[in-house]
Amino acid sequence: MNNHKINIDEYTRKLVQISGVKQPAPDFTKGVMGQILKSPEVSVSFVTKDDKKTNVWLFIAVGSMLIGYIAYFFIKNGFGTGSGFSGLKMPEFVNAFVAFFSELFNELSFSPFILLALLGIIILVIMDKTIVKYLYSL
Amino acid sequence: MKDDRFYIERVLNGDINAFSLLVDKHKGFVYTIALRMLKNVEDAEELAQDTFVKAYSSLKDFKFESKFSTWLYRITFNGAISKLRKKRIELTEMDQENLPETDVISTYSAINELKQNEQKKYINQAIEQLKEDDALLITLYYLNERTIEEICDITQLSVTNAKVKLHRARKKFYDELKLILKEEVRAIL
Repeated sequence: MNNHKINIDEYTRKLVQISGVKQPAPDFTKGVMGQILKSPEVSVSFVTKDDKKTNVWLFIAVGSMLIGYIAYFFIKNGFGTGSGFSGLKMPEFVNAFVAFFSELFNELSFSPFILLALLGIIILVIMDKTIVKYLYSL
Repeated sequence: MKDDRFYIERVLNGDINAFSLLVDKHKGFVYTIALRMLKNVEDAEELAQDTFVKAYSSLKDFKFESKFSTWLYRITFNGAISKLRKKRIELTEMDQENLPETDVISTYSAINELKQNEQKKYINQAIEQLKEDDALLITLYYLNERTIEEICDITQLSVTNAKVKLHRARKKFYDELKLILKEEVRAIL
């Protein structure tokens, strides 16, 4: 472009910029997000893939607890415990594993409080998802 | 604020709320383009909403080959064209006309004599008087400061065609502005 055109461009730019950028209604973003959330293929996700590291630590923690429990059981009871299945003669390591799992099962107790707590957690998660969807749809 | 790519990747990873930040960032220009083309607040708001909903559902197809905003404006432009076609308004091409430098300087000086709110009012009136495609080109090139190549990407015009149409739009903008200012002076006198 030559100088003449550049000057006109500059003048025009200054003039047009006075008009400014228009803004839609204040609840525009809420409306858009409401429409998106109403669409059937949208599923609200609360945990993003950024949290992969947290999952690794979770697996490590659960694995360590399990290994620790098994080690504690065998240190406490030794390998020869347990009577096998219905008096059958079984190898020693099978008896040890049978004893381990029957002991573990005995130690698990589902008291009413644990069941209530689990129910409470499920209700909270459902309410959380429903409330977020509802707020966007307002 | 982080760049668009960061938020797009978050949305694609399932964080739907990140999309509201993209909407907040771009709603002004998307709405302005829609308003310039449709010349109606309700239609413009509806088109701007449709643009973002369409952008969300096609986000996985966005390959970062252009700016996210350019892609959004293209969706807005196509949406406006299809709405205008329904109203049977045709976008036409016209020949280039010369804009005298004296016209530009006299209009610019006259505008500078006015108060800020009056300047804004008359310039907006002049843009509203332009045809849809002229108003779009003026907005993209002078307000949004897009390059001719980006405008071609949005409107699918050839570079030559875009330049010709932009010159024509600019000439019409000054004609409209001069007319508005003359009428105002007449009204005052």
